[in-house]
Amino acid sequence: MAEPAALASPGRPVILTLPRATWRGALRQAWRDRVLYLFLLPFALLTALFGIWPIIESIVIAFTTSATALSDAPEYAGLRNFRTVLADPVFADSLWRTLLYTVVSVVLNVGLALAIALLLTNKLLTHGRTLLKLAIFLPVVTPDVASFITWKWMVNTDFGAVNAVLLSLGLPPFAGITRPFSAFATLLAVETWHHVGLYALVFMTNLQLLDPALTEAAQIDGASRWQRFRHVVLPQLRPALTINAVYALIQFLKTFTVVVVITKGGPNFSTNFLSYYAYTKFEVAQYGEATAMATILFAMVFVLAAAAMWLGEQGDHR
Amino acid sequence: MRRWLTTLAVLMLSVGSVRAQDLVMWHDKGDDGVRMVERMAELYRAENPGVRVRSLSFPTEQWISRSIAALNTNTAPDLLFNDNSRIVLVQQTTRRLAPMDEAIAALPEADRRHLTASDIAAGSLDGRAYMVPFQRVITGWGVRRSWLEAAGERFPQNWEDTLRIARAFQAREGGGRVFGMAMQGGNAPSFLGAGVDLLVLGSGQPHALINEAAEVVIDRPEVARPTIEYVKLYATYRLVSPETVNHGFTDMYQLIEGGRAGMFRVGNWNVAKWDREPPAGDYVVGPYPGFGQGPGAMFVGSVRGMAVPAAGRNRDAAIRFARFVVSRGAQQASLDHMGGVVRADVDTSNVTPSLRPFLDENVRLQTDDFMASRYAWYPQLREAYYRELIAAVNRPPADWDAWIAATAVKMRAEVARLRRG
Repeated sequence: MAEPAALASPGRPVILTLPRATWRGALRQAWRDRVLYLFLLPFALLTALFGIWPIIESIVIAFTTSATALSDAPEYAGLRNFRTVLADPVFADSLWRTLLYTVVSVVLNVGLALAIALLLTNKLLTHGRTLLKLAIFLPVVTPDVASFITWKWMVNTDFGAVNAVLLSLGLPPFAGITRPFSAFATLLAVETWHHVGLYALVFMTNLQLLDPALTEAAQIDGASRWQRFRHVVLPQLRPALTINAVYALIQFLKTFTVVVVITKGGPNFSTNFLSYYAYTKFEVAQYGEATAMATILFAMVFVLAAAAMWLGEQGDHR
Repeated sequence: MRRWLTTLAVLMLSVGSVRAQDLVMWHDKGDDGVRMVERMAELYRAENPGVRVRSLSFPTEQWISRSIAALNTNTAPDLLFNDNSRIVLVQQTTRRLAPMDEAIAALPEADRRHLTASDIAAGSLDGRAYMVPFQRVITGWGVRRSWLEAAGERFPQNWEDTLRIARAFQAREGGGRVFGMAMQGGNAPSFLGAGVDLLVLGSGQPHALINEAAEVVIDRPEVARPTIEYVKLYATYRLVSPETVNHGFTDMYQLIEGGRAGMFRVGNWNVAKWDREPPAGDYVVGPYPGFGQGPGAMFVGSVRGMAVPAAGRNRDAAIRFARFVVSRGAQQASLDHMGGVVRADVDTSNVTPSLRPFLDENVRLQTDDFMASRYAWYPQLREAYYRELIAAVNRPPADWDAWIAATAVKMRAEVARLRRG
């Protein structure tokens, strides 16, 4: 079979350098699968209309003045909005907070989900497996705003259940969302509670697909329990690890609802993450700056997610 | 055929003329606002047959973005009704509102004499008025009547009284679950506009951050004291809930309506609800506490008015209606439905005891300086100031006087930076 010309001329788009015969073959294949494409077409159109177009529109607004952003004749401002945003110390602070929160959240969620999945798939767990799975997964399907409001009440320092329990056990009270560090920690805990079940489910699915022969062989060769996990099980979990890490990265970089409901960016801007900061700019009609922030966040999410995906696939030696 | 065409043309013209007198107004004042506009529209129609005015209420953020988008695409409604800060924000963003100076100047003397220079300045930008003001939003200091009686106290006259009564409330009702005061401090508008400003301007000072010449005034003793005391409420006195650092007005209302705070801000727009529902009239309203120079003042924190898009299809009819809202009948509707007016000659015989202090001519009123109308960068300065104040709440300084002096230096640098653009 002929190699695509792109391999011989790096840097040129593959699709433009396909030999004529390959083009004809691709078109013939597409015609054969026309029913499939016909069914896909409405979804592709909807994605373009409601997914891609608003993103493009938002990026375009980032290059316009706020005063004319929402008009039929927007005035283009070049990179002025981006310069304003990048010179804003609150934005820089918000960016670092978002990155810190994301790193801690990804590690916490993926690590905890892996531990939960290993626990729930362990053969020693003979009773209550379904109940435990349900308990872990239930927060994922709970409406987020409702559950975040409940959490807000639970950590309330005046009447919340968390402090009631701590005080009844003779422990010092938890500052909840009244202090910067504890507010940051509260959001981490609430978000972990809300999302970890989904990541655990992905790990459990992957664990059920493991080849038991490999573990048995390692055991016969004298590998310890930790060695079997580290060198046999974990490499086989790479697909789930990659998916979870990339999804969590996207999820936590965009953290918004939990902030709106529980802390509104406070106290003392300790939870003023990028999505929320951009939203506050929308509230005061600074549309240019707000969409510039959204564009920067979008680029960050895209690049980091792509990098994480690439890293995940690089080491996949199955 | 010609007859049909003529009939059709006449019909279209008549429909067009009726539509020309259909005025649409957007606001964010909910059911009370809708009812007030309905009543005003009835009165207006009696004098101007054929003119219908309808209003639509949106959540505040939607009102702002929709108004801006509609003005920029020439699809705005005929009238925009809101607080001065939002009208000014919309004008700053779009530059598409009609100047109302002439409309205000042309008001009958019997109406115009009720408008103060501050009322007009509130909705002005670069020296031009962009709304006809018709409602003053006044707040006063409310104290739970039954708690006051149980503590054997009278309505506080000064800050020392206020602190003593707040401590008595917390001690009697059980600190930790009940608080001496309810405040909101979750962002700059809350912490400053609905917090520091209440004490500083409520004590009779004209400015809380800068004066007309953009000079920072926070380290002047008469401003520094109420400012520091307000921050201490959170940081050292602990007379507000620790949760207050995240509170917006809805969270604060939960504390008030849930019977968990003894003293709180009462707005004239709150009274209609709070006379019916908890605290169900169990509160006394008066001026804010004074700081050494006798009792303080009630605070006019906002002025609401009607604005008209410059390119509106029914611009002249809309301006006529905007002028009408200062008339006595319209003002009565404003008082009856929203508790706020600019006129002093409305019928107050039916107002409740809780609303009466807001209309008492003997109560001193201190109006906000509305610096955002004078300096477009003022909201940014307030954001910077808020960051300093909330940092002090989080890490209370050992020497408050040194702290306010250092903060003033930072604010002066910030003013210089903002003025440079």
